[in-house]
Amino acid sequence: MCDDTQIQALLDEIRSSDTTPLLRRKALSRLLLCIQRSPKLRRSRHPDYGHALSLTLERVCRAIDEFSPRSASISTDLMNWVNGYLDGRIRDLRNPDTKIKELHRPDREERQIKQEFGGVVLLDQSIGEDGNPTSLGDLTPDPRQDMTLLESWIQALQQAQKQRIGRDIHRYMAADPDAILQGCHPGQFSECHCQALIQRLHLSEPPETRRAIAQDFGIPEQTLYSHWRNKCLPLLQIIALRFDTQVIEFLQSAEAQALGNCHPPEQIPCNCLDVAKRLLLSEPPESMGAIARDLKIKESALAKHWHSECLPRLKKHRL
Amino acid sequence: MRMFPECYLPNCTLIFWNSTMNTMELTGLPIPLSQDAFESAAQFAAEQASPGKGKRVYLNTLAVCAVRTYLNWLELNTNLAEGDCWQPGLRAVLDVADLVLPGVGRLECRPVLPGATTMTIPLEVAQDRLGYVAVQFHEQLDAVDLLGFVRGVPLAEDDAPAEPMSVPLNDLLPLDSLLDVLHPGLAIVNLREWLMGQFRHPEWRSPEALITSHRTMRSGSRNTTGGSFSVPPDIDAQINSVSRAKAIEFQSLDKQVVLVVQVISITTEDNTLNVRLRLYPDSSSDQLPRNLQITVLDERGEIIVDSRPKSGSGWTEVELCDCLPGDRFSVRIALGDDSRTEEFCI
Repeated sequence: MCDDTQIQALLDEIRSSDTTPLLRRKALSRLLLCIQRSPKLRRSRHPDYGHALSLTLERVCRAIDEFSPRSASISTDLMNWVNGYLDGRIRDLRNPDTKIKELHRPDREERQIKQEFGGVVLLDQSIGEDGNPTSLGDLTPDPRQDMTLLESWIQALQQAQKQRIGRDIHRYMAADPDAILQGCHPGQFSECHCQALIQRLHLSEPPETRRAIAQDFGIPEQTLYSHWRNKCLPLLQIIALRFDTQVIEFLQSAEAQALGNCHPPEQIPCNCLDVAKRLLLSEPPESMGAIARDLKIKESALAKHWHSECLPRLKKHRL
Repeated sequence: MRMFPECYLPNCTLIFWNSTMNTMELTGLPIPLSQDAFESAAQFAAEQASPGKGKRVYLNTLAVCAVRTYLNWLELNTNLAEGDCWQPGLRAVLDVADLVLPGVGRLECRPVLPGATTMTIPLEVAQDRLGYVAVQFHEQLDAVDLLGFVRGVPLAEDDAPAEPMSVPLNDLLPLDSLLDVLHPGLAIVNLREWLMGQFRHPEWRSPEALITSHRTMRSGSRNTTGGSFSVPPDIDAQINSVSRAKAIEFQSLDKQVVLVVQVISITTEDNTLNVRLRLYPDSSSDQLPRNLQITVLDERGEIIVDSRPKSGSGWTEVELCDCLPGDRFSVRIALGDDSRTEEFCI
């Protein structure tokens, strides 16, 4: 808890005409810390109290210059000022006429997860038949026993989804129907292809270490690291984007034509629109290497252009 | 930069400089989680292939929303939608919790479970980041604490990590460091500017404001400290020196310690600087407190030099020699488990 002297010093810093934006934000941050550590801060058990408190602290930062202490205790005055605004936001939460009531209301299970989060995560408790967490010693052969309460709840959410991009991508990677993952491997180490690495690094729980995989394949560690970083990870991202319906719709829209203007100097065929279409829309998928050969450009140069210029534009434009 | 072992200077008397900015460590800032954040987290988790992946996405999403809330309070502009974690395909294949500040860069907001002692940085987010904010969840899933920050460092191909990195929470920098990174140019104390008479940080004061005895702390020329910065006799060199001081306060200690930083430029062919970092007790004592430790860390948070004063010492000093333009380092002053960190660049 902060005393009057500390709060006065922070307010002086915040209000000083000499202070820089950086120092003002540092002082504001400390003031927010003081407010939230104060036992006088109004609390509520309302499920969206966090929203009300967040609005209040935002208001503190915006309107701190309007705060004027009236009594001998600046800390008491500050907390009264904060609580005055917070009370209003908590009333908003309870007012059926405000749009707040439209917000999502957590169900019983979600509320339980939130209340017992620390315990269930740390102790890896699972749900008993009565819906209560059970201790590790009480576990039954329930197939959910290895899951935390949170994971069980998420599993139920997942099962309620008709289409799940995560599952679709994982199935694609596991099957590799176009053999683009199996076809990407370092030199003579044909078994150390991207599909095998994704399987062992991304699809297994817990993931294996790269060192162990390198030993297993008899491949130099550095070769494996470079292959994973420079080939498999970018390939993984391209596959992920191919499943992203918003990206695909954007690329097929007139709006995407602007990407055609972004290309390395003197290399118009390497423009982002054409490269993106070839990487993300082609069937079967074209590889970066094949496109580079076709465009008579080094694969590393094309990959760099894709990552530094095309991908950021694509992400920004499709949103 | 090259390091020299600690050496000792005669005692000098200091006066207090009290600063709230300096005494209140900016760590563990609570951030409430809103229903909007929970809704996004649940929606994103539901898209995933497995419950385990769903949980990671859920916590990543909440961590990003929490950091965004904090930056929004401070009127720092963010764009959630530009982050990889907001792209359905990318979050399905990467363990990513990024938050874009348009025109500034990309922060990574790493979730830390209750009771955990380390923050994990997955390989896929080891590059292209301003830094990593540790976001620790409360026992009840209604709020988080922003614990601290680690700077991101551009890595050469050969230096890129081969396995996920684990950062002990004790090694995190305070949130001041995060704000410094988001205000480039104003952020870190630039020691070369001191030599040009530019002092942007008011908390760093002239030693005359803190030190009652001027005998050993004269600015503008090389003083007779008996340190290691000797000039070879065959070099016709000009020596320029500036010192600034800052009082460091610990809650567990009823006294302060004072950090005096002396920047010494020996003008030769190269453009290096030497930096001398000294800790003194306050005027109420002639000895440094027990359990005090001064540690200099490089940009990656690795220890460059680490020194504890001997029992009964009146002061202690570490020296960094041949610091090159662009070098960055931080100085951690620890008293037991409590620590303060200052950051510098050359």
